[in-house]
Amino acid sequence: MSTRIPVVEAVTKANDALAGHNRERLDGLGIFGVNIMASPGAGKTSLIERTLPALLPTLRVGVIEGDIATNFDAQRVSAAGAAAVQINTGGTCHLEAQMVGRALDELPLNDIDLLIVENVGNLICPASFALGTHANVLVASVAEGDDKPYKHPRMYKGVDVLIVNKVDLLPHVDFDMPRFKRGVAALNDGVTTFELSCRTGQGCDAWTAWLREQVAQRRTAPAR
Amino acid sequence: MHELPMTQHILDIALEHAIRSGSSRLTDVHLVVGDLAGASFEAIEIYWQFLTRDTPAQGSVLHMRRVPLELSCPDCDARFRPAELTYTCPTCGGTGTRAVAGDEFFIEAIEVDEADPASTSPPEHRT
Repeated sequence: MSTRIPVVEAVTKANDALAGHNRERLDGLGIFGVNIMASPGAGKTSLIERTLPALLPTLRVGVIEGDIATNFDAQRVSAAGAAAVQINTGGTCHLEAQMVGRALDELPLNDIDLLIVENVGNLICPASFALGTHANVLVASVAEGDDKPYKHPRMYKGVDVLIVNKVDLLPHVDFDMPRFKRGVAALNDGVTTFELSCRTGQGCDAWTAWLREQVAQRRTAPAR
Repeated sequence: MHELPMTQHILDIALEHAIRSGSSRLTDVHLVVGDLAGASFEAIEIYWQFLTRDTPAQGSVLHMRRVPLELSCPDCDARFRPAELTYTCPTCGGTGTRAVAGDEFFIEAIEVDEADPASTSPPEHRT
């Protein structure tokens, strides 16, 4: 005899609980955390490299780099002046809260105002796994095409901030911005959007100003 | 690839509820998976065979209810499943449509063999 038991629990429950723990750690120290996601090559690391020089004079930044393999990205952001920890997932295609929790142990959290987590390059599942950061940021690039909100709806639906990168390439690629934005709006109405180019720096000031504002809102300690 | 940790999470939740019910054998798991969950049922089933070995869920059957992506149109109130590569309303041509279903991903229910009064110690279970 079989008995049916109602459950109704999210598959991501365990990860969500660990993400909540990470969030408490960040909140306790007044750190603002962002989770940067994108397909490989959209410009996640370039965005961080472009962002750090604008913030480091006044903010202390920690970076967690997620990659399937190699230490290359952590070296890039360390060279740019941030405290960096590399996570190699060894094949797992996204970061999970548990991995970020371990990486937090390796960062000088008492000396950080902003935590940037760079997720594994993947446009399918990272948005399904909360990390405990305060904002999910998706980097799209115009070179990828305007059909991505239609082909990868999950990623576009689950983010708080959308960065449209490589806008300096717009004259050279067939990217229909209104079509792209209609697709985004259907999934994520009102998402905070920045159009910029990490290569030229165009539009990057608005993004870094937004980050500074978020950090200022969460900082609990007096100004240093 | 991401179905491996997802399947482990499904197993953990299902076993937790089975053990709590006092049963020593899980027979069925009912999943609800929206199109936006980005989960392949075929992959979950394959991992399920491996992960359930030597657990109270060995031999259990996974069932999936798929929830398609649906949008609604604020102009004409139509609710529809989008065609390929467009979210435009097929009824009135409205472009202000909004997603209203498709990101579900949860365990709806499990089925267990009735509690075995002889089993007092819960079987081992990875958390």
